[in-house]
Amino acid sequence: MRTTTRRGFLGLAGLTVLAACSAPPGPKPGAKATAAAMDKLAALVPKYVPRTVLTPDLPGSVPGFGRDGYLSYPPSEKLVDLVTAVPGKGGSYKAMVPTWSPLPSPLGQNSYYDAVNKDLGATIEFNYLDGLTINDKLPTLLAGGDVVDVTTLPGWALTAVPDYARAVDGLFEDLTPYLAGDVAAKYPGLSAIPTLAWQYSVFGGKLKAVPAWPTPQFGWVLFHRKDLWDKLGQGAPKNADDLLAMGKAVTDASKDRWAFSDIFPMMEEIFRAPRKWRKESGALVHRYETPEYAAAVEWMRKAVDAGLVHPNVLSAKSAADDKELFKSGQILVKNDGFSFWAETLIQVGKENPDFWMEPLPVFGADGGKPEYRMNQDPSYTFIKKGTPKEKVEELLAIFDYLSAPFGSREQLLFNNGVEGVHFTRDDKGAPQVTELGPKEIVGSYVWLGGRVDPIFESQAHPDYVRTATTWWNTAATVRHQDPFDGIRVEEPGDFTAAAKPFEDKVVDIIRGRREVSTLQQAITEWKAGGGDAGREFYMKVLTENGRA
Amino acid sequence: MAVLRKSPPADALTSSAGTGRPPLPARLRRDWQLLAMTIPAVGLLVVFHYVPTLGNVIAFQDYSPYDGITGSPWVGLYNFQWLLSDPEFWTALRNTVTITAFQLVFYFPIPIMLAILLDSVLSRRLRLFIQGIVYMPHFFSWVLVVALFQQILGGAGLLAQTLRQAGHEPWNVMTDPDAFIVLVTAQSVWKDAGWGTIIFLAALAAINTNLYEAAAVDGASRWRRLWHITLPGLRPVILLLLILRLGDALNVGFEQFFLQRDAVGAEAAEVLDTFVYWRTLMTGAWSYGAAAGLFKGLVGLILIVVANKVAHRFGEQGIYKRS
Repeated sequence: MRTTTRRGFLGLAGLTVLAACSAPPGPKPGAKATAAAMDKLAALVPKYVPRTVLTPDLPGSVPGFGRDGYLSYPPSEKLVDLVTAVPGKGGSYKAMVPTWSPLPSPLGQNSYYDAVNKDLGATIEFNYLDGLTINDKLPTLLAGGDVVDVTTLPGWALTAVPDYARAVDGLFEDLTPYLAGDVAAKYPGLSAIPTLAWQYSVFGGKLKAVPAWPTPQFGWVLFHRKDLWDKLGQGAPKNADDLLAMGKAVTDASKDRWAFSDIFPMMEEIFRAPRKWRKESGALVHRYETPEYAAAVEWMRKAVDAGLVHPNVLSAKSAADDKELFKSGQILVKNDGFSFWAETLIQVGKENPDFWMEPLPVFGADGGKPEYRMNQDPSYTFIKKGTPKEKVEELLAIFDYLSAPFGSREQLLFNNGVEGVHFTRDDKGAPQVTELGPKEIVGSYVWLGGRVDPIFESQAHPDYVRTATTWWNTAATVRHQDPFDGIRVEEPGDFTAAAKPFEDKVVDIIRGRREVSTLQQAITEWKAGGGDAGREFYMKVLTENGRA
Repeated sequence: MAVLRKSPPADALTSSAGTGRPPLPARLRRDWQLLAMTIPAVGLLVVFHYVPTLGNVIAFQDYSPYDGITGSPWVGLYNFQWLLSDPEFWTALRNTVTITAFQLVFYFPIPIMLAILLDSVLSRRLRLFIQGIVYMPHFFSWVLVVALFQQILGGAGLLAQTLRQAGHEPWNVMTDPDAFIVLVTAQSVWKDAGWGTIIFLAALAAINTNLYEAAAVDGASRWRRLWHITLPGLRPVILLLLILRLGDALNVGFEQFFLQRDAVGAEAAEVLDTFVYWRTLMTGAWSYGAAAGLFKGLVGLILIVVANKVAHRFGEQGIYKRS
């Protein structure tokens, strides 16, 4: 009805005739595709030599996916001094790192930068790339080719850039000659970074980056305001129907309280839809085509129809800021990154001592297990192409220093700043930030080294480390197994482009603008619009890697 | 506003329209200071406008930024063929044209009315105060404007909560696809109508006040004076801005639609700029995006030329005229 009147209104019939133009033969315009498997790259990366500084209180569950927990900070006199020689040679470097925090005071007016730079024996000046708009800015930034001495990019942001492998090849220095083989004597910190993270740092057959923050990650974690949840008499949901019923019980629009943010991505995992592809009797089935995905769509539609999703999230997500709505108790359940947990506790805990959030306990839609999606690809720290040899070596020594793990003197300095200035110890020895701390310290140096970080933020809340480590190590046992784990795929541009019209239709279904029954039609259109072509490409990747 | 001047200046020496045009060296000798003064402006135009415009050739290439324009293969009209066969493109074009047409009727006249109203406020202080308030939203970002509308009209906003407390079912204007075109126009009016009055206020100030006095003495009513003096005085400026707006017909803005796209769905909110963003920038189809951009530019050019011709028919100056 609406479309008809609009067309009539403008007399656009002429345009519709033009629209019948037929498409030319050949692929839709867009980026080209490649793929590379990690396990064939062993010769290009440093030999793994682990180093342990402290024994964890709570050891991780699954190797490579679990995380250790430390219930308390070691006192200053027990910290290990790992790097005794000064790593820097007095050089000056500009580094660009992503941030999700307000900008700190600049170099020259920032005692945190001064303290760390002094210990490094070099001057690093940070530029910050706004993490919220990184996906929008990175394609043009890399295509423009204007990069500073050191650039750190999150893996998920880099691999979303079309033709990123060529950008990396053209812009950044080859580190293979410096780091391949046994370099433990020279770079003990870098050698302690797990091999898989290094293998991900190989682009086009060359080691191009130092893995930054090679800690495994959950794509999303489903947090709830347990303080309010308990107060409203709700327990742990056992299945998806439970969650819906509890959502109805806690929602009260007249009291400005809604159960959910847009939690659809998490519901996919709870319904066990695959990340991208699933192998079924030798063929690849895409996430969109699985009954699990359809069930998640249907569930989400029910939640929207019942008015359980905060209206601001539905009307303009990016203008709504669901983090704030969650902190103020207008939203009780939302998905976010794992680090949102400790950050929020540290920030809100001071104003509201009763505040407590934690992930909903692990559960699957039918009462079985979910399939939580985990990433092992790290972020990457690149050095600009054409940097002279002695400068590259100075930078690598600095990165080695910044790879010092929890329990070392170095880590406490670059993570927390100077004791008495940026933090003080509480009665349990945990560092509590001073007023100056957050004004000068945002994640900066931490990006330039590679550590598998344990969970150690005991200053966030007395229960935090135990709850978080327990949850993490349980969730890591139900992770989704992807047939493409360990293969980095650059998919064809027209396959990427086919996803958007499909997902627009899914949004329409979830928001009630289209019937659930139209999903099949949307899948058919997606297949024809690039989905099937993408399937062929991915199948070829599997065959070439001997996994078909 | 030299372009608006009706008759050429009387001085034959400065007129190029006359038949007794002096030879080029003589003109150069005479005008060199004037020409020298234009060099910085021309330089800026060349560097920041004409040279980047040449980059549009990538619309005819399979362009990769890592190969550059010289290294990328030529593909002729391939990208345009794809563009014209792309249903998403036609949805975006249809929405864009609909929104432009709607805003021409419901947005364009508002700054004119507002300017006339402001001009009739006699107290200078009161006028400056009102102007300050209506200009201000122009400097707000779209995120802020959308958030503000959300606080008032959204499902958790003032309107909905008041309705709820009165026991009624709330209406979430922000997620109603049928109300979308009205919503975005209302947002544009709130944000930019005040700012748009500036040029009209300048034109109003240029109208000779003697005309009003003479008309009043002759017994013309307020409406008569508005109709026979104010509006004819504004007509050249209105036409100028209208033609320029037509040239921009396929640009309705990016951020406003990008922010609210999911709220009402692509069917209602996809415009050309958002289409280009997700379809080309996000997938590395730079050439495809350039083709869509060229298409927009071409349509704009045709609209400007046609509108200008029509303006000449009606005896108006338009935005340019061959001398």
